[in-house]
Amino acid sequence: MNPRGDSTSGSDGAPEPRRKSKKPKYSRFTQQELPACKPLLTPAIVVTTFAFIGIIFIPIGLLSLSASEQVVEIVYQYDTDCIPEQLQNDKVAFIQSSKTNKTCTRTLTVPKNMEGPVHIYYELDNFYQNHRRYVKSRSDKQLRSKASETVTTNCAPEATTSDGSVIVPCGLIAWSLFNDTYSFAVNSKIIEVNKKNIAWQSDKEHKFGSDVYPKNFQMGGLIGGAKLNASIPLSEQEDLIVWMRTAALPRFRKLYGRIETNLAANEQITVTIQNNYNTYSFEGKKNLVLSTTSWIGGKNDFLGTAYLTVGSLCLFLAIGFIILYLLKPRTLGDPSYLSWNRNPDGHY
Amino acid sequence: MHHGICRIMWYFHLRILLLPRFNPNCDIIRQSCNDDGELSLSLMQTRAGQPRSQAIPPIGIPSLLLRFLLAIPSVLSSSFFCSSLDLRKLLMADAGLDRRAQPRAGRSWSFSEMDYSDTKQKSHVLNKVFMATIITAMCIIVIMQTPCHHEPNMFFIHERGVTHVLVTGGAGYIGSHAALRLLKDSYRVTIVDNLSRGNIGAIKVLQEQFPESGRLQFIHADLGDARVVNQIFAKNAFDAVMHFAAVAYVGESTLDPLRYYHNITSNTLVLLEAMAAHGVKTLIYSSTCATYGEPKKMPITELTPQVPINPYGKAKKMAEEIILDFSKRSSMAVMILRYFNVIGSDPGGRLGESPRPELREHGRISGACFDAALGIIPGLKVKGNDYITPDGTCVRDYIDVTDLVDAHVKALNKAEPDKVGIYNVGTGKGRSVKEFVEACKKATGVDIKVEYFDRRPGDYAEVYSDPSKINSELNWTAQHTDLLESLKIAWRWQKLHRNGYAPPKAISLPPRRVIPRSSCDGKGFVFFDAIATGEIVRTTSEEIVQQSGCRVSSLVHESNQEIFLFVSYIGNNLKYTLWNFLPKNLWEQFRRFMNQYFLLIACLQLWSLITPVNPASTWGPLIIIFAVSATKEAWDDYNRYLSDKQANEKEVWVVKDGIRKHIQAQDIHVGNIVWLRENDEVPCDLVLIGTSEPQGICYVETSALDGETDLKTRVVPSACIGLASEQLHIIKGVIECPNPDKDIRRFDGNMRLFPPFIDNDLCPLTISNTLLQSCYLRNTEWACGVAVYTGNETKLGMSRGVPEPKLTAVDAMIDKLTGAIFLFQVVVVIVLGFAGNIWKDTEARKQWYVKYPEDGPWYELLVIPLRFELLCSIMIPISIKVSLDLVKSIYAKFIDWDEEMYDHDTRTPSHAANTAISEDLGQVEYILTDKTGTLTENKMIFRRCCINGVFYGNESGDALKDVELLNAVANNVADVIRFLTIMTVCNTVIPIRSKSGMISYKAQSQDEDALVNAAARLHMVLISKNGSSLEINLNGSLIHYEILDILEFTSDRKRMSVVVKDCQDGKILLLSKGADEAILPCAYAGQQIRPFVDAVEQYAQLGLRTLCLAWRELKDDEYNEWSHAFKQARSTLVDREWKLAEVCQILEHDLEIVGVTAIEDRLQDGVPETIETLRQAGINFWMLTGDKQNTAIQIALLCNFISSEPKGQLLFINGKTEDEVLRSLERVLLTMRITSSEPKDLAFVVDGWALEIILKQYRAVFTELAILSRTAICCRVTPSQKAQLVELLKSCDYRTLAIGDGGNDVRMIQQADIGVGISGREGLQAARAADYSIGKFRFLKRLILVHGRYSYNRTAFLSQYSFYKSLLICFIQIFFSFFSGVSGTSLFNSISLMAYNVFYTSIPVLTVVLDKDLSEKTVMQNPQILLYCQAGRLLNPSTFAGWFGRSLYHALVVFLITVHAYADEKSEMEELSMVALSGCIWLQAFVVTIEMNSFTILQHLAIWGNFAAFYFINSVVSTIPSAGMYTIMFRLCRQPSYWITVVLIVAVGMGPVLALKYLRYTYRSSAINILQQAERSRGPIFSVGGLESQLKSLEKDVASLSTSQSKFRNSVYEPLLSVSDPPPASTRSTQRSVKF
Repeated sequence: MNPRGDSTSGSDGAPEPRRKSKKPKYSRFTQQELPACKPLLTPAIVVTTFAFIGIIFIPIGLLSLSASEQVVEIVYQYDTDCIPEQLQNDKVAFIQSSKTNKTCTRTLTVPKNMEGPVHIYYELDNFYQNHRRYVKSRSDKQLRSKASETVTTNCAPEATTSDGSVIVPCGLIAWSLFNDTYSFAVNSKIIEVNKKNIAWQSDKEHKFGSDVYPKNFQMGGLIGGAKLNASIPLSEQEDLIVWMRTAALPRFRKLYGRIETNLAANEQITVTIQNNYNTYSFEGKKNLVLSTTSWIGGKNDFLGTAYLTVGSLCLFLAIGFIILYLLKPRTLGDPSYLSWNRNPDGHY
Repeated sequence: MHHGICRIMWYFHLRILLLPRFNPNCDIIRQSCNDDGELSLSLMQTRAGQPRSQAIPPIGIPSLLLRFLLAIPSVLSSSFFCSSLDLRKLLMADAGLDRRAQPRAGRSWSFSEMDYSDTKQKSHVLNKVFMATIITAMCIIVIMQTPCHHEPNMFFIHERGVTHVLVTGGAGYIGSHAALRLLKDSYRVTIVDNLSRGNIGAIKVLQEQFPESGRLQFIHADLGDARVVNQIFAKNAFDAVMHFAAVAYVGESTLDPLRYYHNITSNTLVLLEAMAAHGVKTLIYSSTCATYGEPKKMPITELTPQVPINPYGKAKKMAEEIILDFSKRSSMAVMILRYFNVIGSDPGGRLGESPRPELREHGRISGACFDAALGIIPGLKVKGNDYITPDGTCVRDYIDVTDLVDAHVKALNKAEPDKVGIYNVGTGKGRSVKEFVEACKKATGVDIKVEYFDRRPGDYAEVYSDPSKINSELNWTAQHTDLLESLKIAWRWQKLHRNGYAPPKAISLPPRRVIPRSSCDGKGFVFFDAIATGEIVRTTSEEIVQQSGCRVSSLVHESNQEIFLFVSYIGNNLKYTLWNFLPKNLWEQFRRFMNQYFLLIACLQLWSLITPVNPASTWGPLIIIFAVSATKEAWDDYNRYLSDKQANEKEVWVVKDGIRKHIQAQDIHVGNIVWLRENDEVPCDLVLIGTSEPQGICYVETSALDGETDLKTRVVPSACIGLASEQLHIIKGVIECPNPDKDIRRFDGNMRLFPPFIDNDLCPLTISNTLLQSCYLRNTEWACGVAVYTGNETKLGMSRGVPEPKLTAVDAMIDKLTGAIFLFQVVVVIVLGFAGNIWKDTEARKQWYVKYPEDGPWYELLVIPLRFELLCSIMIPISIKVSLDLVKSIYAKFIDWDEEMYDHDTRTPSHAANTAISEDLGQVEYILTDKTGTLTENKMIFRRCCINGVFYGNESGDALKDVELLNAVANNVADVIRFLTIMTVCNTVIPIRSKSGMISYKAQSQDEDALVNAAARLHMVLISKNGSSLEINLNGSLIHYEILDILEFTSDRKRMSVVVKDCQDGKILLLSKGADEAILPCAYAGQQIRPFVDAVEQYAQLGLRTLCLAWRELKDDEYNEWSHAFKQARSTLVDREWKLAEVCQILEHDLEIVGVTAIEDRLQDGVPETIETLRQAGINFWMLTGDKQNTAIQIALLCNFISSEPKGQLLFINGKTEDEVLRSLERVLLTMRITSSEPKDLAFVVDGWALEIILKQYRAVFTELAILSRTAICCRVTPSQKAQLVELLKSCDYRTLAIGDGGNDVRMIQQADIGVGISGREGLQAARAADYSIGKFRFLKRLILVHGRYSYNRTAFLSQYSFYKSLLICFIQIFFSFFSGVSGTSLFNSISLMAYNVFYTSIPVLTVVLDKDLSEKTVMQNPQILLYCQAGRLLNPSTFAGWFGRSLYHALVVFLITVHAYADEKSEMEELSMVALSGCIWLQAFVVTIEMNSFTILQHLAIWGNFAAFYFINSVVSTIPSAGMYTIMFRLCRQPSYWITVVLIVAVGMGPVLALKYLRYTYRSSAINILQQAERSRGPIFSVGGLESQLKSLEKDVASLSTSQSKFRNSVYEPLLSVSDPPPASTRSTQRSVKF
């Protein structure tokens, strides 16, 4: 109990630890001294950069353009064409009537040699597949497996029939499936349209189940688009799969099928169109497109033109900068330009 | 006054407490006051466990009621008095100086007979009366309400054949023996004792001896309390009174005479009155032979004339006379027994003598002998061995206590009404001290060391009495008095009772008092009791009031047990517990508006109808961001937990149950007594009660608390001085302390010890009586103290609080921009909402496949706007807060890490305590700096002095080498010696002698250190300071002084004084030193102060600090009178400082000025350069100092603060009256306006007095002046004025930085936008309060130019970039909505959106923390570049507009190119969105690249690594079949067109940016660009223009401002993409740009 008794053990709070250096440890990071390159926007660098971009871009633009040029494309707008004269004023009635004959046959001329496979697209315009109500209205789970057949969360208003049984495939997208059909003939000889593998392989394998069969589809009062064969699983309903890949823009093309053979120039192709799909109520356009492809895709001059423009602009800028530099040489980093180094007399 | 009342109340209760029974078989009355102040009276009788309750008959109710009614007016008037008079008057009244203020009410009926001259006691009387009336009232109420069983109490009735004796002082030595004898003789005994000198242990022994009911009762009461005494007499039927109670030490009586008169004379009077009032007819008075004084003839007979020579004897004589006078007119039987030295003890060994330990020195010789024999004291001090006696020592008549009480009992038996008997009780034979000591040696068997000293005043040589009268009349002779035998008996008892009466196990605490609600706010009470186990008890007044309301009082009432409140200590700094972490943290986070906004958005997203994306896209980032913040908090808290744990589990010694125990620090309770050994850390805030040092001092090192490295002295409060360590194990008391605060310089408390310790004095406590947490005990073997604050309530714990967040200018700007963006967002939402609804109603109805229902729900109109709100919510970047917090904490770390700001002298690194305001450093416009310690080193060196008009040290510059001075010292020139004495004595320096004999000084102020050291070199050496005694060695001869009082230095008083007693001639001197304006006005009338004024002037010219020294001799009575007032002021709780100053002023007048000292305070290294550089950077400097004007100006000149005459001009604002000041101010302002165009350094100088007037009256004018003036010197300003000046500049919307080093700068530092503390010699107070602490002033340059500037640049970029990238993606969404029927479809999927915000765009930009636009060297050489930061040119609405435009442009580029490249058959939604996202990612990477100035490896990693991460993450997501993005990334990467598109986006997006940047960079270069170019092309450059022209041009910048324009930065933004010239525009560059 004597306070002196333990005084040796009590001296551990001795001043020694206080002497410990608190000096920060040196490292290049902590001293903000990491080696750094500090690029300067010197005329040389900038001019070189622009020139370089120009030099690179122009060839790429030319390549792209030529690729686009090589693509042969036949576009035929048939929405108004395929309606009989007398019904031109009431297109909606025509298309909604089940009695009218919707078949229309037209002849297209192949402008250039088209090497097979020739892709057949239908192009819709002013069709908002990206509308929020529309784009959401599907059930990926239901499409994928039979087990989740009843998952129709987002499918309203095409989730169930009026008696409450589940629609497979549900939702507005499937319900509004495009149902115009095309058949082609050259010189009365029917050209085979290959409708296999028009959809993405990955979709067929993983997004649309092979055990999912259409059910209660298009059985409601209002029929939107195409019907599906209830005996074929969804994974093989390729038209549906293509349709279900919603387009981001209101004008879009979707693959209808392929013609595997070549089409010679000036060949007359007879197209028989079943004009079933109602684009008239919203003044949408329908095109039939036959097109070959190149490495850059379909016919699209945009990239090539853009590249050429940008490339030449860059070259122009580079040259401009050079001229400017020659006309107005300017020493960089002249401290006499610093405001506080200027003669105060020149202030006013 | 109010708390005085509350304090006294407590005291009062203490006195009337009846202690609880110690024996269950004895009847005692138990009176207890519960917290309501009710005096509950109940009688409990238990016999053999059979409870039987009795109660006092309600007699006296009518009289009590009457008194209560009588008391009402007095209560009212006294309370009115207390509240209505101001403090000043109260102080005067307290000090007894304003006698008119003495309340009439105070002279109330109960004390009117008693008039003694202790003024301090008068207020006690007032309080007592006040309390007594209240208590009486309470009594009545309680008695009326208590259902009583009217069974009589044995003590209350006169019983035939039983004599009921009241023994006063029955717990004391003689009283207890008398009580024992009386009890043995079958008397009924009531003991009344206040236990101030008596022992409760004796009572306990008696109760054990006589447990039968009706034999003994003990009442704890003070005889000075007439009310209580009356009550006692009213409740008991006494037959006789044996009056022993008295303080009885001759030595003490000379020191504290009033106490003796009060205790002996006045108490006897009270007793006599009570006896008369209640008809008690017999009094045995125990007097003393000291009443005879120094009789001429021996032996003393009863007829010897009484000429007492000491207050004790006089008081006793007076009491005797009162008794005798009274007895003449009454039939009272009176016996007065006079006797001397009593020895021996109860032969049965039950009782003994056990004086209070601290009174041992006053004690009788027998006690001293035994103490020496026990080893408690080293030996015996015999005072005087040169008396005319046989062996030279005093001769005294000793009598055994048994004989003495026998005499008393015999006197009692012989007492007859109307008869007075006076008897000397003695043996008639004297024994010398030497004889006595020899007998003692024999009895104890110990060879007691005897030392002989000089005679003690008041002792006389030979005294013995003639016992013949008592012999014949009372038939009494000393039967037992045999020196050796008596001593043997006593020794037996002493040996067995080393600690006196063993501490009783269960002494109960007195019940708590009533506390008037209003008077006790802000205070708490700590009860401490070393014996009892762990009762606590620190409560706040609220708790007491609350509990006293009903709960506590009823508990007391029912169980009669004391209430202990338990306050457990857990040193807990944790913000969270495991349980409340989540809710509490979330709550804190959601208090921010931004987070609330995001939460709202996230909640809206749960509504699937409107959500454009998966809610995860908002919830994800939100959760991640919250998780990051929460993790940071949790981590901080965990670290705190670890350090707490370490501190909490530290082992400490604590006294419990009277024994010291080793416990963990977390188990310390408030009220525990903690023991510390040398070098121990103090575990909590303690009030010191004992140390190993005999003077009651100990040394502590407080560096952990305030950074001061010197040792500080801590003193045991006066009440505890002299307590031995054994006594500290049984100590009890109460400490009244303020509620916890963080002021480490103040502790205004009071302490009172409980019996058996002195309880009469309320002992004031100050900070010097405390040991604060985290200090270390040094140079002291041990110390112990009472824990008053523990855990988080310690001073340190309180000061650890989280500082108020400061908002930087950048933060404010970001908030503004966020607000703008929010508005923009609202507009977008409204427009798109309208458009969407219109489109829906026109177009969508036709889109049959959309199947819009004919009539939607009521909220249909809201759906689309809300959807857009969600879509646009990303406009406000959710990540900005986190990113900013992150980079800011890195900035702060860079400051901590900076080697160049490491102070090698003090070994302190710089530290950024506030991590959030680094950018503000770069925007500083005004620096307000302290002078001493900040600009200067605060290393004081004594240089010159002027003694009585003679200047020393003027030639050599060092007075210590001045031969004249040395000669003067050697020749003992009176003035010089006086001067040196003041230098040596008037301070708080502690000399410490090392083992080698060297003396070093520990001083709290550098000035004092310099003075004492200088004096030592002039051969006046301060050798030692032990408590109050002080030793000086002057030229080899020792001089002693006794320090009586220290009138401490405060910044308001500006002087300090000491009152010392010269031990050679006994003169009392007042020595003062202080600032000239504080000392010179105190000079005595007629002294020539001119020479001193001149000296001060002259020294100040040289930049020296001056102090004036003065002295005065005090007359004894003047000092005594003042000392009382001082003591009283010291023990006030409220406004103590102010009251002390007031009292000090009373003494400090008519001083004789002796001389002036001049101390040099050297400038710190690099101060002029730093100031010059920072001034070039456009920062304005103001110097705020408490120093004199001349000193300040000199220092300002030295450190480039101002220029000397031709170049600079000083404008003085001075004046004493408002008019003068105004005139002066306007003149200065006019000069300032006119000359502002001239190239001249203008500065104004203002002093504290003028400033006070200005700040009150002419704020507007002064503000204008402040804007115009770049430099100002403010002298003699107080801390609060410093803060006001900061506030003034802040109110003009300037960014201010305050830098200082001392406690007086703290307010300024806290007030400023940025507070910088110098962790220097004056301690860490400033550094603790500051946002940044640095070791040296010169680091400020680097702090501002490097860290501040970089931080600003980086934050400016980071924040704007955050908006840019959010806007970019948002604009794309908006464009897309025009292509999706304005229906609010999101182009991007949820994962992309989430990852875009959180990963892709956040990480690369974080590397901006490493970006440096210019090298540190360039910045240092061209500090003007800071202008860009100050003017906010890198972040303002116009730069933001640039970024806004850029994001709009980039969004257009990305969207248009994407939709064109991916049209027709490629316009698949997922693909298109991924192309657009890729475009954004690529663009932002290039934006970061082009905006970044320097690329380190980390930047490369982050930027290019981010690409890799983007493709990697998307590839991973593309492999998940269920994801919407399944295979998308792979498909895209295979397409050449994808790559071509992305490259096109980059080229189109970045090309114009690059071109514009290049053009600006080359042809409209900003200063930054020029310096960049210069730095990189040719290495570091030097400014061409000299300093002068630079300053001029800066002057121009300032001069060009009109005074009405308060802020120039408003007009000078430098937009990023705009083509305007960076201001300040010059003609030359404008012309050039026009040509271009």
